[in-house]
Parts: sequence; structure tokens; C-alpha cells
Amino acid sequence: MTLKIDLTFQVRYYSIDFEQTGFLSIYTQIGTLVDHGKRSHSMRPHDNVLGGAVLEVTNLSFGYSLGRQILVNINLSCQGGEVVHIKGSNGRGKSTFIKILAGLIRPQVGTLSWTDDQKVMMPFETCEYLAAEHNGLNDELTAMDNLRFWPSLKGAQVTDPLVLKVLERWGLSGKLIQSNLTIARFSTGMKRRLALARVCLSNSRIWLLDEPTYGLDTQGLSALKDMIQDHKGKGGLTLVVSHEPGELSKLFTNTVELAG
Amino acid sequence: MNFSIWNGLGRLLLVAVLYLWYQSIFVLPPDIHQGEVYRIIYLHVPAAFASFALAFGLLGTSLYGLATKSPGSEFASKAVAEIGFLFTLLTLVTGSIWGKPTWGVWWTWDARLTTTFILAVLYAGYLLLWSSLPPGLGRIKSTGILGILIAVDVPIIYKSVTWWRTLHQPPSMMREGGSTMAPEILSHLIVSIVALTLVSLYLVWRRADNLKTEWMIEVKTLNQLGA
Amino acid sequence: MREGASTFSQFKTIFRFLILSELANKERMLAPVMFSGITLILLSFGVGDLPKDINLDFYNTKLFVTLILALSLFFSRVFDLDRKDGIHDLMKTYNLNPFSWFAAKFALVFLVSWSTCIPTFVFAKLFSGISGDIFSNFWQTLTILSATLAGLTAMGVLLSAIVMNADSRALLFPVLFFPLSVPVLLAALHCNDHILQGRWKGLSDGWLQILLIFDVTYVILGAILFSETVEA
Repeated sequence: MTLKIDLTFQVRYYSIDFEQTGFLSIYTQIGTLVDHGKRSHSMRPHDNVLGGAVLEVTNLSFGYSLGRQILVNINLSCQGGEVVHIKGSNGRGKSTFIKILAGLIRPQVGTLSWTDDQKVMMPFETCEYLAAEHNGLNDELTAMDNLRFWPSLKGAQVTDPLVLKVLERWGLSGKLIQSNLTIARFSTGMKRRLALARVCLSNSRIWLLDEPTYGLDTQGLSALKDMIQDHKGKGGLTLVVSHEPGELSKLFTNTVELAG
Repeated sequence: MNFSIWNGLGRLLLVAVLYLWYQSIFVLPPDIHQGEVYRIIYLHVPAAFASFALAFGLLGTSLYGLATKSPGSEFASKAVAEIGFLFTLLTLVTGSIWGKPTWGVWWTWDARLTTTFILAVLYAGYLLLWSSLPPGLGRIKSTGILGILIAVDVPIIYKSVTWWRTLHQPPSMMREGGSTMAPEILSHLIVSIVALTLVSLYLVWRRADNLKTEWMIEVKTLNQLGA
Repeated sequence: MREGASTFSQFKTIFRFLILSELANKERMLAPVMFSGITLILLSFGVGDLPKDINLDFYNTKLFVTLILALSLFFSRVFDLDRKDGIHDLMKTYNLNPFSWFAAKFALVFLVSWSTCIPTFVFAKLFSGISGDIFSNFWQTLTILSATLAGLTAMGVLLSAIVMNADSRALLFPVLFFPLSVPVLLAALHCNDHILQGRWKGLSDGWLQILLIFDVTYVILGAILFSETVEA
């Protein structure tokens, strides 16, 4: 059975249409969120075998309230098992685009649709997002506490051995690092590894990684490559924003260039 | 300013209010007990009514903003809060001026004055929040929620403050009951209330339009700069 | 939107995380307590010795004014955790049920605010030389304090969510919080006054009704409006 969810955005938010100068014209903005999906499906998250995930973006446009349009008519279609590289020079809206996909920013116009042959989809539910400048870690807690939190928020059963295994994979083994040291004591690279370990644990079908390589050393880079390779093998979809993909570029199956 | 029906009506309203004030000051007879000073109620009471009515106007624009996320609601809410703040100040000042000869003090913790004072602080807080948030969807939501909180809280504040005064003090010297008023004074007061409330709505409308124009100029300039 | 079990498990997860974060730095909890202690001392010094009947009124005022001041200090940092390292944004992408999020915040703040409330109560009683031990009228006092805290907590969580992204949060929060909490202050004051004078009438007391109306209104508003602050 296929469940398809379309989110059609027609929110002409802060429309830059100066020809209509009437006062009431600004009140008649349409803000509809058309949701064709049924929201009452039972959740069956985190099966070991990931189903084919499809993300389709049609005519997506966005601009911040003051200033020019950043994204104009973006179209993108991708399948499970793909690794998509999103590139473009600074200020072209790469991070904005990935934030829209993650559900953090509402686009003005366009359609986002997720299709999944396992009936577990909800908008944004299958996405695991890694921000460029943040790791989403509470620096007063330990690595274990942080890693237990995020997956269980998605309803996954996280057992300590599983978390330890992932930590090991990211070179963060050792009792001291795992449950004695608070994150505040970690270096930049270690924090990034921990954030990537969180992405790894989530088992989401779609990964949205914004500059995942930031702060990683060669060992970390190869772990990242393995991780994406694994995800690809399970039929997951990965979208990567990166200026210097390096080794990762061998994995890319598709490239989107945001020219702005 | 372009001449339109609405502008024309607005000017007509201003003329009507001036005429009403002329009547209040020069034509109507003085009060038996309070003498000439009572005439300030033709400004004080309508201003108070308008400032409380605008609190519910704020509820309306806030709910509209949260429901539609329309940018226009933001300007309308800001305009309502600004005019509301102005009218609460007007109420407080005229209340003090009236209070000095009547009660012998500039300020007393009368229930209505206290509530108006709190309302003024809340309007000011709303404007502060509005100006310290970046424009956009987030601001529509945050200020919308605050607008609802204010409008919901005002009746509770009024109830509790009134109760607090009646428990601690003998009933207020000021009796605004319709029964003690001469019919001509009462009817004139009601006309004044209606007129000033309409004036407040007119001002809100002009101010919201103003804010919108301001914003459009800003965006247009930024667009031309290619920012 | 989601099944009950899932909503509840989200609530549990968030609540656990919040508690862990709160306990990670226990010194932070001391700040409101110190603040209320100092405020009470200053107020007592400023006024000096009072006749007995006025002293009772003053004790009451002192207690609740200090409590609201100290709690505002505590409430204003409810969303400090979320501002850290993009945690709030990441939680937004998880498409959580806003109700479980609000409930977790509410439960945490309600529980932790007792750590401010109890010391303030004890200090106020000790410093004022009011006769009767701390545990006199225990249940009535507990009712009043819970009702006060519930309303203030719901309002505090909502307000600090609103001002989270504002430039001058530290200034804005009290400016908005104090005028909105006037009814709570008056109602709590009078309820406690009735208790101290032995005129406690339970639910038929109009002031307790105002307090409860405030509580119900703000808990409902909080549960409904919080979703607006966390959706894109």
C-alpha cells in the first residue's frame, strides 16, 4: 500500500506585489496547507529494513520577509537509495532549502511530497536533520544521556548496548567519554561525531545533513562515509549540503545546484 | 493624501467630535454638585470606553493573525495597540485632572483607574515585544498569543481589582450610575462615547495603513539595492 | 494526531530530559531562593516593627510579592535549554505533539518552582515573627500555593516561549509577567488572609474561585497556544 503525502504551499507570505496598493489587498493573502495524507495511521517506526522513500519537490519558492527571493522554482525528485549533493555558492539558500525540507521553515509557494510504501509516513517524520551550525546537544549532560533522548523522542527503542555500539563506531568509546564527561568538555570534532551518531541511531528514512563534515578528521570522515553507505544500502535517502565533500563525492548519485 | 470616501468620513468624524466638545464645554449646563469640572467626563469616559474596546479589538486582530498568518494582521494589531496605549494614557491623564478637584488627590487606587493603568502597561509591553522581534511569521505568532493573553486577562484583572477595592474602602465617591445623571448629560455622554470609539477605529485604520506603507517602502528599497 | 501512548511516551521522554538538564546544574536553582531571601530581608528592614494586626497583612503581602518576583526569575529561563545548540529547532523537526511538549515543560516548571516556593514561605514566616508554626493550616496553605503556582506556571511557560526569540528577553519577561499576574497576587493574598484569620470557606470563597478561573484559563490557553510557537 502506498501512502502519499502532499503539502502544497500557497502561502504568499509577505508578497512583494506592489501593484496592489489597496489596504485590504494585504489581508487577502492565501495561506493554505493542503494535506492529502491521512494523519491517523498507526506508527510502525524503525524497522530494520528501510522502505523506498521518495521525496518530491515541485516549484518551491522562498524569500525572507525583507529582501529578495532566495529560492525560486526549485524542483527535485529523489528515490530511496540515493545520495543527493546540494551545492551552490554562499548565500544561495542551501541551508534554507534543507530547513524547509526538515519542516523548520514554511515555503511560500510550492509542493513538498513524501511517498512511502510502508504506511508510516507523516510530513517531516522520516527526516533526521543535522544543522550546519548546531549539533542539538545539551552541553550539561553526558554523551549517553544526549543519545538516549533523541531516538526515544521518535519512539525508537534505544538500548544501551546499541548506543554503545554506535559510539564505538564513531570513536567515542571509553567509560569516561560516554557517561562521565559532560558535552561541554568535548572538542568541536567530538561534538560533530556525537551529532552524527544521533543521526545514525534515529534510523529515519531521509537524512538531511547540512555540512556534516564540519570539524571531522580523516577517521571521522571515513566513519561518515561508511554511515551514508550503509544508509544507502538499506534504501534510505540522504541529502548532503557540503562545500568540500572530498571522499563523500564518490557516494553521490545526484547533484542539485542552487544558482539563486 | 488622496481624497476618498473613507478619508472624507474620517474628517467628518473629526468635525463631529469637535462639535460635541464645543457642546460639552460651552453649551451644556454645569453639574449641580461638581460645577464646571465635571465636563471632563465627556472626554474621560469615552476614552476609557475606547481603550477597553480596543483590548477586544486586539483579541480580534490577534485571532485573525493566528488563524490566517496574514502579514496585514500584524500591522492592524500594532495599530490597535498603539492607539489603545494612547487612549489609556488619555484616560489616566483626564482621570487625574478630574480627580484633583473632586477627590483632592491626583491619584487614587480606584478600581477603574487601576485597571486602566495595568492595561496601559500591557499595551506598552505588547509594543515592546513587537519591536524587539524580527518581522515575519514568528512575530505574528508571538504577538498574536500575547494579544489573546491580554484580552483574556483584562476582565479577570478588572474583576479582582474591583473586588479588592470594595473590600478595603468604602464605596467610591464617584458614582457613575445612570440614575444620578440628568438625561441630557447621559444622552450627550453616550453620543460622545460612540463618536470617540469611531475616532479610535479611524485612527487605527490610518495607522495600520501607514505601517503597511512604511514596510512596503522598506522592501522596495531593499529590492532595488538587490540586497 | 497521534495515539495516546505515543503522546505520553513523548511527554515522558521530554520530561526526563528536562529533569536531567535541570539537575545537571543544581546551583542554578539556588538563585531564586537567594533572591527571595534577600528581598524578604530588605522589605523587613525597610518597614521595621509593626503593630500586630498590620504585621499580619504585611507578612501576607511580603510573602506573595516576593514569591512572584522570585518565580519570574525562575520562569524567565524556562526556555534557556531550548536555545542551546539548536535543541529547540531540532525538536521542531521531530514533529512532536505540541501538547506533550507543553505538558512536559509545565510539569517540570511546576515541580521545580516548589524549590523556590517552600523556602520563600519558610523565610517569610520566620522573618515576620508570626505566631503559629510553619505547619499550621497545612492543607489550606498547600491548596493556595498549588493554585497560585499552577496559574503562574502556565502563564510563565507561555510567556517565556513568546519572548524566547526577542532581543531583550530579560527585560521583556517581567514587564509582561507582572501586570498579567495581578489577579493571582490579589487572589492569593486574600485567600491566605482568610486562612490566617480562620475564615477559610473552601471553594465557596470568591477569591479562590478567581484563582481557579485564572488557573483553568491559562492552562487551557497554554495547551492550545503553545502549538503556535513550535510549528513552522
